[in-house]
Amino acid sequence: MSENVLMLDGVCKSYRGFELRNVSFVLPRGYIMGLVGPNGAGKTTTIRLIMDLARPDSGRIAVLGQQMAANQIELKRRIGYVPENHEFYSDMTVNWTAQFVGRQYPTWNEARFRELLQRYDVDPRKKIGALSKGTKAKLAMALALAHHPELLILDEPTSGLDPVVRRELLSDLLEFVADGDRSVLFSTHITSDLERVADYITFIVNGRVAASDEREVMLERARASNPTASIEDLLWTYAKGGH
Amino acid sequence: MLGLVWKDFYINRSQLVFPAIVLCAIALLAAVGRSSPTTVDYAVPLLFTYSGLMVPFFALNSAMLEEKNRTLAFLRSLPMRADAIVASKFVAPLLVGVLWVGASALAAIIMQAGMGEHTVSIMSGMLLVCATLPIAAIELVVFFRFGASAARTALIVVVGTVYLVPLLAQGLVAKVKPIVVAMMDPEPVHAVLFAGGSLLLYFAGMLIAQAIFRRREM
Amino acid sequence: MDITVSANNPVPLYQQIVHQVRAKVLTGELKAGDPLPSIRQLASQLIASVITTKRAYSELEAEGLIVTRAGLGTFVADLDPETIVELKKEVVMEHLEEGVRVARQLEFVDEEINRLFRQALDGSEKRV
Repeated sequence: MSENVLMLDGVCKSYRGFELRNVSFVLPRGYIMGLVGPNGAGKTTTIRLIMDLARPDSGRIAVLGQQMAANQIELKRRIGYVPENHEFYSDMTVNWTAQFVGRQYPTWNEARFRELLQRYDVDPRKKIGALSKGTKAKLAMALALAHHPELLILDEPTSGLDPVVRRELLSDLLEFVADGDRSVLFSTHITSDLERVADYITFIVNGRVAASDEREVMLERARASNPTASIEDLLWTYAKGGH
Repeated sequence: MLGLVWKDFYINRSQLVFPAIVLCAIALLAAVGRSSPTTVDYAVPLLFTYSGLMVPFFALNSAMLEEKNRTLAFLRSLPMRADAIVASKFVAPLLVGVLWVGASALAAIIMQAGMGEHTVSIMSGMLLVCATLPIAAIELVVFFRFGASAARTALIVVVGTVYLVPLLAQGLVAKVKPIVVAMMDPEPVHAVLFAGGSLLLYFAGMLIAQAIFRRREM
Repeated sequence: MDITVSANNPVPLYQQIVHQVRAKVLTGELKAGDPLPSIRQLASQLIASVITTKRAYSELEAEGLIVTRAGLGTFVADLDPETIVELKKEVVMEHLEEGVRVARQLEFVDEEINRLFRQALDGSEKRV
Protein backbone atom coordinates (compact mmCIF):
# COMPACT_ATOMS: atom_id res chain seq x y z
CA MET A 1 0.00 0.00 0.00
CA SER A 2 1.34 3.37 -0.96
CA GLU A 3 2.34 5.66 1.82
CA ASN A 4 0.98 8.82 0.25
CA VAL A 5 -2.45 8.63 -1.25
CA LEU A 6 -2.05 12.03 -2.88
CA MET A 7 1.04 13.76 -4.15
CA LEU A 8 1.04 17.02 -6.05
CA ASP A 9 4.34 18.48 -7.17
CA GLY A 10 4.69 21.82 -8.89
CA VAL A 11 1.27 21.63 -10.51
CA CYS A 12 0.45 24.57 -12.76
CA LYS A 13 -2.69 25.30 -14.71
CA SER A 14 -3.70 28.50 -16.38
CA TYR A 15 -7.07 29.56 -17.60
CA ARG A 16 -8.11 32.90 -18.94
CA GLY A 17 -8.28 35.12 -15.88
CA PHE A 18 -7.05 32.54 -13.39
CA GLU A 19 -3.83 30.72 -12.72
CA LEU A 20 -2.87 27.85 -10.47
CA ARG A 21 0.85 28.01 -9.76
CA ASN A 22 3.27 25.57 -8.23
CA VAL A 23 0.75 23.67 -6.18
CA SER A 24 2.50 21.04 -4.09
CA PHE A 25 1.27 19.03 -1.14
CA VAL A 26 1.13 15.49 0.11
CA LEU A 27 -1.60 13.53 1.89
CA PRO A 28 -0.37 10.47 3.79
CA ARG A 29 -2.58 7.41 4.01
CA GLY A 30 -5.04 7.27 6.87
CA TYR A 31 -5.55 10.96 7.47
CA ILE A 32 -7.89 13.80 6.71
CA MET A 33 -6.67 16.86 4.86
CA GLY A 34 -8.60 20.05 4.53
CA LEU A 35 -8.07 22.17 1.45
CA VAL A 36 -8.90 25.68 2.62
CA GLY A 37 -9.12 28.92 0.82
CA PRO A 38 -11.40 31.78 -0.07
CA ASN A 39 -13.87 31.35 -2.91
CA GLY A 40 -12.13 31.32 -6.24
CA ALA A 41 -8.75 30.50 -4.74
CA GLY A 42 -8.28 27.36 -6.81
CA LYS A 43 -9.63 24.59 -4.61
CA THR A 44 -12.06 23.18 -7.16
CA THR A 45 -9.50 23.48 -9.93
CA THR A 46 -7.01 21.52 -7.86
CA ILE A 47 -9.56 18.80 -7.21
CA ARG A 48 -10.54 18.62 -10.88
CA LEU A 49 -6.89 18.20 -11.77
CA ILE A 50 -6.57 15.38 -9.25
CA MET A 51 -9.63 13.66 -10.70
CA ASP A 52 -8.31 14.00 -14.26
CA LEU A 53 -11.28 16.14 -15.27
CA ALA A 54 -8.66 18.65 -16.43
CA ARG A 55 -5.00 18.23 -17.22
CA PRO A 56 -2.18 20.29 -15.64
CA ASP A 57 0.04 22.44 -17.83
CA SER A 58 3.03 21.23 -15.84
CA GLY A 59 3.87 19.37 -12.66
CA ARG A 60 3.09 15.88 -11.45
CA ILE A 61 0.07 14.40 -9.72
CA ALA A 62 0.12 10.93 -8.19
CA VAL A 63 -3.11 9.43 -6.84
CA LEU A 64 -2.80 6.28 -4.74
CA GLY A 65 0.77 6.15 -5.99
CA GLN A 66 -0.15 6.10 -9.68
CA GLN A 67 -0.83 8.44 -12.58
CA MET A 68 -4.52 9.10 -13.13
CA ALA A 69 -4.22 9.42 -16.90
CA ALA A 70 -2.73 5.94 -17.29
CA ASN A 71 -4.92 4.06 -14.80
CA GLN A 72 -8.04 6.12 -14.82
CA ILE A 73 -10.63 3.35 -14.43
CA GLU A 74 -8.81 1.33 -11.80
CA LEU A 75 -8.08 4.41 -9.71
CA LYS A 76 -11.54 5.87 -9.97
CA ARG A 77 -12.92 2.60 -8.67
CA ARG A 78 -10.98 3.17 -5.48
CA ILE A 79 -11.97 6.81 -5.12
CA GLY A 80 -15.19 8.28 -3.84
CA TYR A 81 -15.71 11.65 -5.46
CA VAL A 82 -18.32 14.21 -4.48
CA PRO A 83 -18.14 17.40 -6.57
CA GLU A 84 -19.54 20.68 -5.39
CA ASN A 85 -22.54 20.50 -7.69
CA HIS A 86 -23.52 16.90 -8.03
CA GLU A 87 -25.46 16.50 -11.24
CA PHE A 88 -27.59 13.44 -11.74
CA TYR A 89 -30.39 12.71 -14.22
CA SER A 90 -33.23 14.74 -12.75
CA ASP A 91 -36.04 12.60 -14.18
CA MET A 92 -34.62 9.40 -12.73
CA THR A 93 -35.26 8.11 -9.23
CA VAL A 94 -32.71 7.67 -6.47
CA ASN A 95 -33.06 3.91 -6.90
CA TRP A 96 -32.31 4.06 -10.61
CA THR A 97 -29.36 6.37 -10.05
CA ALA A 98 -27.96 4.07 -7.38
CA GLN A 99 -28.34 1.08 -9.66
CA PHE A 100 -26.58 2.91 -12.48
CA VAL A 101 -23.72 4.07 -10.29
CA GLY A 102 -23.46 0.80 -8.38
CA ARG A 103 -22.87 -1.14 -11.56
CA GLN A 104 -19.67 0.84 -12.17
CA TYR A 105 -18.00 -0.25 -8.93
CA PRO A 106 -17.05 -3.86 -8.24
CA THR A 107 -16.83 -3.07 -4.52
CA TRP A 108 -20.34 -1.64 -4.34
CA ASN A 109 -22.13 -2.69 -1.17
CA GLU A 110 -25.89 -2.44 -1.61
CA ALA A 111 -26.61 -3.07 2.06
CA ARG A 112 -24.26 -0.29 3.11
CA PHE A 113 -25.89 2.06 0.61
CA ARG A 114 -29.38 1.32 1.95
CA GLU A 115 -28.11 1.81 5.49
CA LEU A 116 -26.65 5.19 4.57
CA LEU A 117 -29.83 6.27 2.77
CA GLN A 118 -31.81 5.46 5.87
CA ARG A 119 -29.41 7.29 8.14
CA TYR A 120 -29.40 10.34 5.88
CA ASP A 121 -33.16 10.17 5.54
CA VAL A 122 -33.29 10.00 1.74
CA ASP A 123 -36.39 8.53 0.12
CA PRO A 124 -35.14 6.12 -2.55
CA ARG A 125 -38.30 6.31 -4.60
CA LYS A 126 -38.12 10.05 -5.15
CA LYS A 127 -36.95 11.57 -8.40
CA ILE A 128 -33.64 13.39 -8.30
CA GLY A 129 -35.29 16.58 -9.46
CA ALA A 130 -37.60 16.52 -6.45
CA LEU A 131 -34.77 16.40 -3.92
CA SER A 132 -33.62 19.47 -2.01
CA LYS A 133 -30.03 20.62 -2.31
CA GLY A 134 -29.15 19.17 1.06
CA THR A 135 -30.72 15.81 0.28
CA LYS A 136 -28.88 15.63 -3.03
CA ALA A 137 -25.65 16.33 -1.16
CA LYS A 138 -26.39 13.49 1.23
CA LEU A 139 -27.24 11.18 -1.66
CA ALA A 140 -23.96 12.04 -3.35
CA MET A 141 -22.15 11.25 -0.10
CA ALA A 142 -23.97 7.94 0.25
CA LEU A 143 -23.10 6.99 -3.33
CA ALA A 144 -19.46 7.81 -2.67
CA LEU A 145 -19.24 5.88 0.59
CA ALA A 146 -21.19 2.82 -0.50
CA HIS A 147 -18.38 1.32 -2.58
CA HIS A 148 -15.85 1.50 0.27
CA PRO A 149 -13.29 3.70 -1.48
CA GLU A 150 -9.75 4.11 -0.26
CA LEU A 151 -9.77 7.82 -0.88
CA LEU A 152 -12.63 10.26 -0.51
CA ILE A 153 -12.38 13.50 -2.42
CA LEU A 154 -15.03 16.02 -1.46
CA ASP A 155 -15.48 19.50 -2.88
CA GLU A 156 -17.31 21.73 -0.41
CA PRO A 157 -19.28 18.85 1.10
CA THR A 158 -20.81 20.87 3.90
CA SER A 159 -21.86 24.04 2.11
CA GLY A 160 -25.60 24.44 2.19
CA LEU A 161 -26.05 21.86 4.93
CA ASP A 162 -27.57 22.70 8.30
CA PRO A 163 -25.29 22.41 11.36
CA VAL A 164 -26.72 19.09 12.49
CA VAL A 165 -26.13 17.40 9.16
CA ARG A 166 -22.71 19.00 8.96
CA ARG A 167 -21.70 17.46 12.24
CA GLU A 168 -23.08 14.10 11.12
CA LEU A 169 -21.03 14.31 7.97
CA LEU A 170 -17.84 15.17 9.83
CA SER A 171 -18.49 12.30 12.18
CA ASP A 172 -18.89 10.02 9.16
CA LEU A 173 -15.56 11.20 7.81
CA LEU A 174 -13.82 10.26 11.04
CA GLU A 175 -15.52 6.90 11.07
CA PHE A 176 -14.32 6.50 7.50
CA VAL A 177 -10.64 6.93 8.41
CA ALA A 178 -10.96 4.89 11.59
CA ASP A 179 -9.28 1.81 10.14
CA GLY A 180 -6.14 3.71 9.19
CA ASP A 181 -6.20 2.64 5.55
CA ARG A 182 -8.58 5.22 4.17
CA SER A 183 -7.99 8.92 3.62
CA VAL A 184 -10.01 12.03 2.95
CA LEU A 185 -9.35 15.24 1.08
CA PHE A 186 -12.02 17.83 1.43
CA SER A 187 -12.11 21.39 0.29
CA THR A 188 -14.03 24.01 2.17
CA HIS A 189 -14.18 27.66 3.01
CA ILE A 190 -15.96 26.87 6.29
CA THR A 191 -12.97 26.82 8.61
CA SER A 192 -14.87 25.69 11.68
CA ASP A 193 -15.23 22.24 10.11
CA LEU A 194 -11.49 21.91 10.09
CA GLU A 195 -10.84 23.10 13.61
CA ARG A 196 -11.35 19.66 15.02
CA VAL A 197 -11.40 17.19 12.19
CA ALA A 198 -8.47 17.93 9.88
CA ASP A 199 -5.14 16.24 10.50
CA TYR A 200 -3.49 18.25 7.74
CA ILE A 201 -4.42 21.55 6.18
CA THR A 202 -3.37 23.06 2.88
CA PHE A 203 -4.15 26.72 2.47
CA ILE A 204 -4.74 27.80 -1.10
CA VAL A 205 -4.91 31.51 -1.77
CA ASN A 206 -4.96 33.11 -5.20
CA GLY A 207 -3.93 29.95 -6.99
CA ARG A 208 -0.94 29.27 -4.77
CA VAL A 209 -0.31 27.12 -1.74
CA ALA A 210 0.22 29.49 1.17
CA ALA A 211 0.98 26.71 3.63
CA SER A 212 0.57 22.97 3.99
CA ASP A 213 1.26 21.17 7.24
CA GLU A 214 -0.20 19.33 10.24
CA ARG A 215 -3.03 21.36 11.68
CA GLU A 216 -1.66 21.07 15.21
CA VAL A 217 1.76 22.34 14.15
CA MET A 218 0.30 25.33 12.33
CA LEU A 219 -1.97 26.25 15.22
CA GLU A 220 0.82 25.99 17.75
CA ARG A 221 3.04 28.27 15.70
CA ALA A 222 0.23 30.76 15.32
CA ARG A 223 -0.68 30.61 19.00
CA ALA A 224 2.85 31.65 19.93
CA SER A 225 1.85 35.18 19.02
CA ASN A 226 -1.93 34.91 19.41
CA PRO A 227 -3.08 32.44 22.08
CA THR A 228 -6.57 32.10 20.68
CA ALA A 229 -5.54 31.75 17.02
CA SER A 230 -7.87 29.62 14.93
CA ILE A 231 -7.81 28.24 11.42
CA GLU A 232 -10.01 31.12 10.40
CA ASP A 233 -7.40 33.57 11.70
CA LEU A 234 -4.70 31.76 9.77
CA LEU A 235 -6.77 31.87 6.61
CA TRP A 236 -7.34 35.58 7.13
CA THR A 237 -3.59 36.09 7.54
CA TYR A 238 -2.76 34.19 4.38
CA ALA A 239 -5.56 35.79 2.40
CA LYS A 240 -4.15 39.19 3.29
CA GLY A 241 -0.82 38.11 1.92
CA GLY A 242 0.89 37.36 5.23
CA HIS A 243 2.76 34.26 6.39
CA MET B 1 -20.77 0.66 -22.79
CA LEU B 2 -23.88 -1.46 -23.15
CA GLY B 3 -25.03 -0.25 -19.76
CA LEU B 4 -24.69 3.29 -21.08
CA VAL B 5 -26.67 2.41 -24.21
CA TRP B 6 -29.40 0.98 -22.01
CA LYS B 7 -29.27 4.14 -19.90
CA ASP B 8 -29.72 6.27 -23.03
CA PHE B 9 -32.68 4.15 -24.12
CA TYR B 10 -34.29 4.44 -20.71
CA ILE B 11 -33.73 8.15 -20.29
CA ASN B 12 -34.96 8.92 -23.80
CA ARG B 13 -37.80 6.44 -23.69
CA SER B 14 -40.33 9.16 -24.42
CA GLN B 15 -38.69 9.49 -27.82
CA LEU B 16 -39.55 5.88 -28.48
CA VAL B 17 -43.08 5.92 -27.14
CA PHE B 18 -44.56 8.31 -29.68
CA PRO B 19 -43.12 6.60 -32.77
CA ALA B 20 -44.28 3.26 -31.33
CA ILE B 21 -47.81 4.65 -31.02
CA VAL B 22 -47.65 6.02 -34.56
CA LEU B 23 -46.47 2.64 -35.79
CA CYS B 24 -49.27 0.79 -34.04
CA ALA B 25 -51.87 3.31 -35.19
CA ILE B 26 -50.82 3.08 -38.81
CA ALA B 27 -50.64 -0.72 -38.67
CA LEU B 28 -54.05 -0.90 -37.01
CA LEU B 29 -55.69 1.48 -39.45
CA ALA B 30 -54.18 -0.33 -42.39
CA ALA B 31 -55.17 -3.73 -41.01
CA VAL B 32 -58.71 -2.49 -40.46
CA GLY B 33 -58.80 -0.96 -43.93
CA ARG B 34 -57.22 -4.09 -45.38
CA SER B 35 -59.86 -4.39 -47.97
CA SER B 36 -58.94 -1.00 -49.35
CA PRO B 37 -55.59 -1.41 -51.04
CA THR B 38 -54.97 2.33 -51.18
CA THR B 39 -54.94 2.56 -47.39
CA VAL B 40 -52.30 -0.08 -47.17
CA ASP B 41 -50.36 1.41 -50.08
CA TYR B 42 -50.38 4.70 -48.28
CA ALA B 43 -49.56 3.35 -44.83
CA VAL B 44 -46.44 1.37 -45.59
CA PRO B 45 -44.46 4.10 -47.37
CA LEU B 46 -45.54 6.52 -44.64
CA LEU B 47 -44.04 4.23 -42.06
CA PHE B 48 -40.81 4.12 -43.87
CA THR B 49 -40.39 7.80 -44.55
CA TYR B 50 -40.71 8.32 -40.81
CA SER B 51 -37.46 6.36 -40.69
CA GLY B 52 -35.59 9.43 -41.79
CA LEU B 53 -36.46 11.14 -38.53
CA MET B 54 -35.57 8.45 -36.03
CA VAL B 55 -31.81 8.44 -35.83
CA PRO B 56 -30.94 12.16 -35.90
CA PHE B 57 -33.75 13.13 -33.56
CA PHE B 58 -33.06 10.42 -31.05
CA ALA B 59 -29.40 11.43 -31.07
CA LEU B 60 -30.33 15.07 -30.61
CA ASN B 61 -32.75 14.41 -27.78
CA SER B 62 -30.20 12.26 -26.04
CA ALA B 63 -27.60 15.02 -26.39
CA MET B 64 -29.98 17.71 -25.17
CA LEU B 65 -31.05 15.76 -22.10
CA GLU B 66 -27.43 15.08 -21.22
CA GLU B 67 -26.69 18.78 -21.42
CA LYS B 68 -29.81 19.85 -19.53
CA ASN B 69 -28.85 17.51 -16.69
CA ARG B 70 -25.19 18.53 -16.93
CA THR B 71 -24.35 14.87 -16.56
CA LEU B 72 -21.40 14.60 -18.94
CA ALA B 73 -19.11 15.63 -16.09
CA PHE B 74 -20.85 13.13 -13.81
CA LEU B 75 -20.22 10.34 -16.33
CA ARG B 76 -16.60 11.40 -16.71
CA SER B 77 -16.11 11.13 -12.96
CA LEU B 78 -17.28 7.52 -12.95
CA PRO B 79 -14.80 4.70 -13.56
CA MET B 80 -15.51 4.32 -17.24
CA ARG B 81 -13.64 5.15 -20.40
CA ALA B 82 -14.43 8.47 -22.03
CA ASP B 83 -14.54 6.55 -25.34
CA ALA B 84 -17.37 4.39 -23.99
CA ILE B 85 -19.44 7.47 -23.19
CA VAL B 86 -19.06 8.69 -26.77
CA ALA B 87 -19.64 5.24 -28.24
CA SER B 88 -22.93 4.84 -26.40
CA LYS B 89 -24.14 8.16 -27.83
CA PHE B 90 -23.53 6.75 -31.32
CA VAL B 91 -24.67 3.20 -30.76
CA ALA B 92 -28.02 4.03 -29.12
CA PRO B 93 -29.45 6.04 -32.05
CA LEU B 94 -28.16 3.46 -34.51
CA LEU B 95 -29.94 0.72 -32.60
CA VAL B 96 -33.07 2.84 -32.58
CA GLY B 97 -32.84 3.11 -36.38
CA VAL B 98 -32.34 -0.63 -36.75
CA LEU B 99 -35.20 -1.40 -34.38
CA TRP B 100 -37.46 1.01 -36.21
CA VAL B 101 -36.77 -0.56 -39.59
CA GLY B 102 -37.33 -4.01 -38.09
CA ALA B 103 -40.56 -3.00 -36.40
CA SER B 104 -41.81 -1.29 -39.53
CA ALA B 105 -41.07 -4.39 -41.59
CA LEU B 106 -43.00 -6.47 -39.07
CA ALA B 107 -45.90 -4.04 -39.20
CA ALA B 108 -45.90 -4.21 -42.98
CA ILE B 109 -46.09 -7.99 -42.84
CA ILE B 110 -48.93 -7.85 -40.36
CA MET B 111 -50.77 -5.36 -42.51
CA GLN B 112 -50.85 -7.46 -45.58
CA ALA B 113 -50.03 -10.92 -46.80
CA GLY B 114 -48.38 -10.28 -50.13
CA MET B 115 -45.02 -8.80 -49.27
CA GLY B 116 -43.80 -8.56 -52.83
CA GLU B 117 -44.74 -5.00 -53.66
CA HIS B 118 -43.53 -3.74 -50.34
CA THR B 119 -40.01 -5.08 -50.22
CA VAL B 120 -39.27 -1.88 -52.06
CA SER B 121 -40.37 0.23 -49.14
CA ILE B 122 -38.55 -1.87 -46.58
CA MET B 123 -35.31 -1.53 -48.50
CA SER B 124 -35.74 2.17 -49.09
CA GLY B 125 -36.68 2.63 -45.45
CA MET B 126 -33.42 1.01 -44.43
CA LEU B 127 -31.50 3.10 -46.96
CA LEU B 128 -33.19 6.22 -45.69
CA VAL B 129 -32.05 5.41 -42.17
CA CYS B 130 -28.54 4.85 -43.55
CA ALA B 131 -28.69 8.18 -45.33
CA THR B 132 -29.42 9.92 -42.05
CA LEU B 133 -26.41 8.33 -40.34
CA PRO B 134 -23.83 10.84 -41.60
CA ILE B 135 -26.18 13.65 -40.59
CA ALA B 136 -26.46 12.22 -37.07
CA ALA B 137 -22.69 11.75 -36.99
CA ILE B 138 -22.09 15.41 -37.77
CA GLU B 139 -24.64 16.37 -35.14
CA LEU B 140 -22.94 14.23 -32.48
CA VAL B 141 -19.44 15.43 -33.32
CA VAL B 142 -20.67 19.00 -32.97
CA PHE B 143 -22.31 18.06 -29.66
CA PHE B 144 -19.12 16.68 -28.19
CA ARG B 145 -17.17 19.71 -29.31
CA PHE B 146 -19.60 22.58 -28.85
CA GLY B 147 -22.61 21.32 -26.93
CA ALA B 148 -26.23 20.45 -27.55
CA SER B 149 -27.50 23.82 -28.81
CA ALA B 150 -24.77 23.91 -31.43
CA ALA B 151 -25.64 20.33 -32.37
CA ARG B 152 -29.26 21.32 -32.91
CA THR B 153 -28.15 24.22 -35.09
CA ALA B 154 -25.89 21.86 -37.04
CA LEU B 155 -28.81 19.51 -37.65
CA ILE B 156 -31.00 22.33 -38.93
CA VAL B 157 -28.22 23.60 -41.17
CA VAL B 158 -27.40 20.18 -42.63
CA VAL B 159 -31.04 19.22 -43.24
CA GLY B 160 -31.73 22.66 -44.69
CA THR B 161 -28.77 22.30 -47.03
CA VAL B 162 -29.95 18.90 -48.16
CA TYR B 163 -33.32 20.38 -49.07
CA LEU B 164 -32.28 23.79 -50.31
CA VAL B 165 -29.22 23.04 -52.41
CA PRO B 166 -31.07 21.10 -55.11
CA LEU B 167 -33.59 23.92 -55.31
CA LEU B 168 -30.93 26.56 -55.64
CA ALA B 169 -28.75 24.60 -57.98
CA GLN B 170 -31.20 23.43 -60.65
CA GLY B 171 -28.55 21.44 -62.41
CA LEU B 172 -28.15 19.29 -59.31
CA VAL B 173 -31.81 18.28 -59.38
CA ALA B 174 -31.30 16.44 -62.62
CA LYS B 175 -28.35 14.58 -61.05
CA VAL B 176 -30.12 13.87 -57.75
CA LYS B 177 -33.37 12.55 -59.27
CA PRO B 178 -31.96 9.27 -60.60
CA ILE B 179 -30.32 8.64 -57.22
CA VAL B 180 -33.62 9.04 -55.41
CA VAL B 181 -35.34 6.78 -57.94
CA ALA B 182 -32.59 4.19 -57.46
CA MET B 183 -33.15 4.35 -53.70
CA MET B 184 -36.80 3.40 -54.25
CA ASP B 185 -35.83 0.21 -56.03
CA PRO B 186 -32.16 -0.46 -55.43
CA GLU B 187 -29.94 -3.18 -56.76
CA PRO B 188 -28.95 -5.34 -53.78
CA VAL B 189 -25.27 -4.66 -54.42
CA HIS B 190 -25.83 -0.91 -54.47
CA ALA B 191 -27.93 -1.14 -51.33
CA VAL B 192 -25.21 -3.01 -49.47
CA LEU B 193 -22.55 -0.56 -50.64
CA PHE B 194 -24.67 2.40 -49.64
CA ALA B 195 -25.43 0.94 -46.23
CA GLY B 196 -21.80 -0.02 -45.70
CA GLY B 197 -20.59 3.41 -46.73
CA SER B 198 -22.97 5.19 -44.38
CA LEU B 199 -22.02 2.98 -41.48
CA LEU B 200 -18.36 3.62 -42.18
CA LEU B 201 -18.93 7.36 -42.17
CA TYR B 202 -20.95 7.04 -38.98
CA PHE B 203 -18.21 5.21 -37.12
CA ALA B 204 -15.57 7.54 -38.52
CA GLY B 205 -17.60 10.29 -36.94
CA MET B 206 -17.57 8.35 -33.68
CA LEU B 207 -13.78 8.09 -33.73
CA ILE B 208 -13.50 11.83 -34.32
CA ALA B 209 -15.95 12.53 -31.49
CA GLN B 210 -13.96 10.21 -29.19
CA ALA B 211 -10.73 12.05 -29.94
CA ILE B 212 -12.43 15.36 -29.23
CA PHE B 213 -14.04 14.20 -26.00
CA ARG B 214 -10.87 12.60 -24.69
CA ARG B 215 -9.14 15.93 -24.83
CA ARG B 216 -12.05 17.91 -23.47
CA GLU B 217 -11.86 19.27 -19.95
CA MET B 218 -14.85 18.85 -17.72
CA MET C 1 -14.50 6.82 28.27
CA ASP C 2 -16.55 9.88 28.96
CA ILE C 3 -14.66 12.85 27.58
CA THR C 4 -15.75 15.95 25.73
CA VAL C 5 -13.69 18.48 23.86
CA SER C 6 -14.64 21.86 22.53
CA ALA C 7 -13.03 23.66 19.64
CA ASN C 8 -14.12 26.96 21.16
CA ASN C 9 -11.91 26.38 24.18
CA PRO C 10 -8.59 28.27 23.83
CA VAL C 11 -6.83 25.24 25.26
CA PRO C 12 -5.68 23.03 22.35
CA LEU C 13 -7.83 19.97 21.77
CA TYR C 14 -5.09 17.49 22.54
CA GLN C 15 -4.43 19.13 25.85
CA GLN C 16 -8.10 19.05 26.76
CA ILE C 17 -7.94 15.29 26.24
CA VAL C 18 -4.74 14.98 28.29
CA HIS C 19 -6.22 16.96 31.18
CA GLN C 20 -9.42 14.97 31.29
CA VAL C 21 -7.73 11.58 31.09
CA ARG C 22 -5.19 12.61 33.69
CA ALA C 23 -7.95 13.81 36.01
CA LYS C 24 -9.79 10.52 35.65
CA VAL C 25 -6.66 8.52 36.42
CA LEU C 26 -5.76 10.60 39.44
CA THR C 27 -9.24 10.52 40.92
CA GLY C 28 -9.36 6.79 40.43
CA GLU C 29 -12.25 6.91 37.95
CA LEU C 30 -9.93 5.09 35.55
CA LYS C 31 -8.11 2.29 37.32
CA ALA C 32 -4.85 0.61 36.46
CA GLY C 33 -5.34 -1.79 33.58
CA ASP C 34 -8.58 -0.24 32.32
CA PRO C 35 -8.65 -0.29 28.51
CA LEU C 36 -8.79 2.95 26.58
CA PRO C 37 -10.24 3.42 23.10
CA SER C 38 -7.73 3.31 20.27
CA ILE C 39 -6.43 6.57 18.83
CA ARG C 40 -8.76 6.32 15.87
CA GLN C 41 -11.72 5.16 17.92
CA LEU C 42 -11.29 8.14 20.22
CA ALA C 43 -10.97 10.47 17.22
CA SER C 44 -14.21 9.13 15.85
CA GLN C 45 -15.93 9.39 19.21
CA LEU C 46 -14.86 12.98 19.87
CA ILE C 47 -15.12 14.12 16.25
CA ALA C 48 -11.50 15.19 16.46
CA SER C 49 -8.62 14.54 14.13
CA VAL C 50 -6.49 11.46 14.47
CA ILE C 51 -3.30 13.42 14.90
CA THR C 52 -4.89 15.22 17.81
CA THR C 53 -5.73 12.05 19.71
CA LYS C 54 -2.38 10.58 18.74
CA ARG C 55 -0.64 13.54 20.30
CA ALA C 56 -2.77 13.35 23.42
CA TYR C 57 -1.92 9.70 23.89
CA SER C 58 1.78 10.38 23.26
CA GLU C 59 1.83 12.90 26.03
CA LEU C 60 -0.11 10.70 28.41
CA GLU C 61 2.30 7.90 27.69
CA ALA C 62 5.29 10.21 28.23
CA GLU C 63 3.82 11.15 31.61
CA GLY C 64 3.55 7.49 32.43
CA LEU C 65 -0.22 7.53 32.81
CA ILE C 66 -1.02 5.10 30.00
CA VAL C 67 0.76 2.28 28.23
CA THR C 68 0.35 0.84 24.78
CA ARG C 69 0.87 -2.87 24.40
CA ALA C 70 1.47 -3.83 20.78
CA GLY C 71 -1.44 -5.80 19.38
CA LEU C 72 -3.47 -5.50 22.57
CA GLY C 73 -4.27 -1.81 22.81
CA THR C 74 -3.91 1.07 25.17
CA PHE C 75 -4.44 0.76 28.90
CA VAL C 76 -4.21 2.83 32.02
CA ALA C 77 -0.76 2.33 33.50
CA ASP C 78 -0.11 0.60 36.77
CA LEU C 79 0.83 3.47 39.02
CA ASP C 80 2.03 3.05 42.56
CA PRO C 81 0.44 5.36 45.16
CA GLU C 82 3.55 7.54 45.51
CA THR C 83 3.60 8.28 41.80
CA ILE C 84 -0.06 9.20 41.94
CA VAL C 85 0.54 11.61 44.80
CA GLU C 86 3.47 13.11 42.89
CA LEU C 87 1.31 13.55 39.80
CA LYS C 88 -1.45 15.12 41.83
CA LYS C 89 1.08 17.51 43.28
CA GLU C 90 2.21 18.37 39.76
CA VAL C 91 -1.34 19.15 38.69
CA VAL C 92 -1.90 21.41 41.68
CA MET C 93 1.46 23.07 41.18
CA GLU C 94 0.55 23.77 37.56
CA HIS C 95 -2.51 25.68 38.67
CA LEU C 96 -0.71 27.46 41.52
CA GLU C 97 2.13 28.48 39.26
CA GLU C 98 -0.40 29.86 36.82
CA GLY C 99 -1.95 31.88 39.66
CA VAL C 100 1.50 33.21 40.64
CA ARG C 101 2.23 34.13 37.04
CA VAL C 102 -1.01 36.10 36.73
CA ALA C 103 -0.46 37.81 40.06
CA ARG C 104 3.03 38.88 39.10
CA GLN C 105 1.73 40.09 35.76
CA LEU C 106 -0.69 42.30 37.73
CA GLU C 107 2.30 43.56 39.65
CA PHE C 108 1.66 42.06 43.05
CA VAL C 109 4.70 41.44 45.28
CA ASP C 110 5.35 38.11 46.93
CA GLU C 111 3.91 38.96 50.37
CA GLU C 112 0.70 40.18 48.81
CA ILE C 113 0.52 37.04 46.76
CA ASN C 114 0.96 34.96 49.90
CA ARG C 115 -1.82 36.89 51.66
CA LEU C 116 -4.10 36.42 48.67
CA PHE C 117 -3.34 32.73 48.77
CA ARG C 118 -4.31 32.46 52.45
CA GLN C 119 -7.47 34.38 51.67
CA ALA C 120 -8.33 31.93 48.94
CA LEU C 121 -7.62 29.01 51.22
CA ASP C 122 -9.79 30.37 54.03
CA GLY C 123 -12.42 31.54 51.60
CA SER C 124 -12.93 28.15 50.08
CA GLU C 125 -13.03 26.50 53.49
CA LYS C 126 -15.81 28.84 54.56
CA ARG C 127 -17.71 28.17 51.34
CA VAL C 128 -17.43 24.42 51.90
